[in-house]
Amino acid sequence: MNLRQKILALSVLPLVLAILAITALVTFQSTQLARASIATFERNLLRAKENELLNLTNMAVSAIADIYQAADADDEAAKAQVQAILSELDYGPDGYFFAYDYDGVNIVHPRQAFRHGQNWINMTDPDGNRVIYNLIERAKEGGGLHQYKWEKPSTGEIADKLSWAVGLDKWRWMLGTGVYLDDVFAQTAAAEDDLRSHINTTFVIVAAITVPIVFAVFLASFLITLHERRLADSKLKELTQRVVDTQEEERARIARELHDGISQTMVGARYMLDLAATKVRSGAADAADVIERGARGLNDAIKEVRRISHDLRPGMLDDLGLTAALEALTGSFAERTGITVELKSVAFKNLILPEARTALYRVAQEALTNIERHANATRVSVIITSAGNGPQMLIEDDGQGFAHLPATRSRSGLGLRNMQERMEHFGGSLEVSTTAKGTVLKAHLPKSTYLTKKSDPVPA
Amino acid sequence: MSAPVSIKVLICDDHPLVLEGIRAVVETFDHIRVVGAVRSAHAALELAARENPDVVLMDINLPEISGLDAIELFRERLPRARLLMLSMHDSREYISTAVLYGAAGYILKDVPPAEIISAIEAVAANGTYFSSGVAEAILEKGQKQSTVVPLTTREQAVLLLLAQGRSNKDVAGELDISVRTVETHRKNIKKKLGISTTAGLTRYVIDHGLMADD
Repeated sequence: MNLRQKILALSVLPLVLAILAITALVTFQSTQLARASIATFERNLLRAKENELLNLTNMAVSAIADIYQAADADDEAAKAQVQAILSELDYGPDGYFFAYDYDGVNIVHPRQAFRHGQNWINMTDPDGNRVIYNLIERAKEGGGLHQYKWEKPSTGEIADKLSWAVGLDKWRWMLGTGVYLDDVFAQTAAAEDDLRSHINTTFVIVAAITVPIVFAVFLASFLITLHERRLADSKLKELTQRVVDTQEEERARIARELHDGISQTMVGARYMLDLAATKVRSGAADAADVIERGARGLNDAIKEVRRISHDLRPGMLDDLGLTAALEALTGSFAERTGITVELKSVAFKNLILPEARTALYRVAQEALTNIERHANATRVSVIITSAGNGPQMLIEDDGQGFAHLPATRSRSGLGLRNMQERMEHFGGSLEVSTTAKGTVLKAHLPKSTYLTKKSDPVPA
Repeated sequence: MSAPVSIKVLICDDHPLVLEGIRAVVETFDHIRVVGAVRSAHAALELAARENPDVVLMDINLPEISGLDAIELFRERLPRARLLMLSMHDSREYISTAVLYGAAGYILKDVPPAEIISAIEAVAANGTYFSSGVAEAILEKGQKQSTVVPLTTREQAVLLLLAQGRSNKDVAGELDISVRTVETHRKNIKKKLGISTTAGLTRYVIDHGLMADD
């Protein structure tokens, strides 16, 4: 994973997580709320059913009240009359009254005639509930509710049923009626379905918001990346162009020096030698003079070559080390500019890798060039130190700094960048601080640039 | 021009044409005898051990052992031989380094042949010789005060060994030199660095981050 992807992940991940967390919280809370209201709804529905049952039962009881109160405990005629009334009482396909005696023998059941006259005290519903026994118990207690499973007449299926039972104690009868609860549960289930679809809708909405946002973030970062890459590309191109230009300039300069300087001198020397040959052949007395003039010409050419090669790369850096090369550099700088240069260095030589040595030398060269061009300084100090954490070079001047030079900034900026890159190539660093009172440049290289095993550089 | 004494000269330069050129120039003088012309410091040391030259004409840029390092090796093994450096470099730093290492003279390769002979004669007579261009280079920039006198290659090697706690004898064995030479190096190092004790030398080496980790 590269840096760009990391940044992208870092921006998108929290966003997605936050949205997920908020969605989860909202969903959880709305579910809780909906569940609570569904429960209330169910409770109210059940209470309404209970009231209905109570009213129905009261109605039945009042329908038989006259006969029952007038009758004795074993008035079979009155019992038959009540039995007939209860069988007739009806409210809808699933609304009917039933009666059992306290032993569990069925007396009235308008929908299931087969139960008549038989004992059902031990009958259980699918859940193991002793339905009749429990209803009789409620009746004995003075009336109460009991919930169980029973066959619903209109559909012929087993359904939940809630019944109210009262006792006719004189006759030891239990009288009751019930309502089927499947419609209540159906309504609750419908409400829950509603809730579920609400939650789904919420999720869809959240997704509809999140997906475009995440996409937008991705798109934005992609565009930024693209832009940056284009920018970097153009900078790289600029840099490459500069490198190429510099190289070409340098080549042109060397070619000019070779052609205009050395080549001409050597042509001159050759003429001299040709002339000398002619003179020797003709026996002229001054042949030796001409040869000497030719040799002088060659000497000039030698000096010229030496100068050019020194300019290209100071051999001193390899032969004598950094300190000596810097001494030569600062010496000629002081001579050329009249700026006092102080050089402090260590007593050692050939301590650091040749490439690192060259890098430090080039940094010093660039720094001195900058000082000469912009700083207006009177004093420069170059200090090389070597410590446990690596070699370090400090170049200080008392000039006017370069912060006030906006016009040349890009140029000297390139120079600085060049120096920086030279140091960074070895894992080192370059720090520059500039004020109106002077500039301090600190070049530092890591310990890894030390040459190791230098105890005996001269094989014996 | 001819002198009664014969000066034995050894020439060392890695460039064959230059080597032959100098040899041809020098051999034209009767009082100078070329005992050898070799192309590396190794060969020069080997030949010098047999021929015992009075003057060694030594190029600075040599493969493997540089001419500068060779000066020290000659000083150690053949202290009688006088080193006359022969170079293309006219920078002050080269010349002062050569002097620091113990060269008796320094001439540029492009001087007239007669000057080479004068230089050989001068150093053979226990004098010093710096060719006209060189003398200028030294005078020109004058007394440039270097804050630290740099150690020579040999001194640096000796210092690093001593800092590891090696004895003089050990160091002598390691570098294949006499114990007395080690003593001399030690004395010079202390003088250059301004340090009087061996512990101080070790401290100096550690402070400069030069102690190898092994």
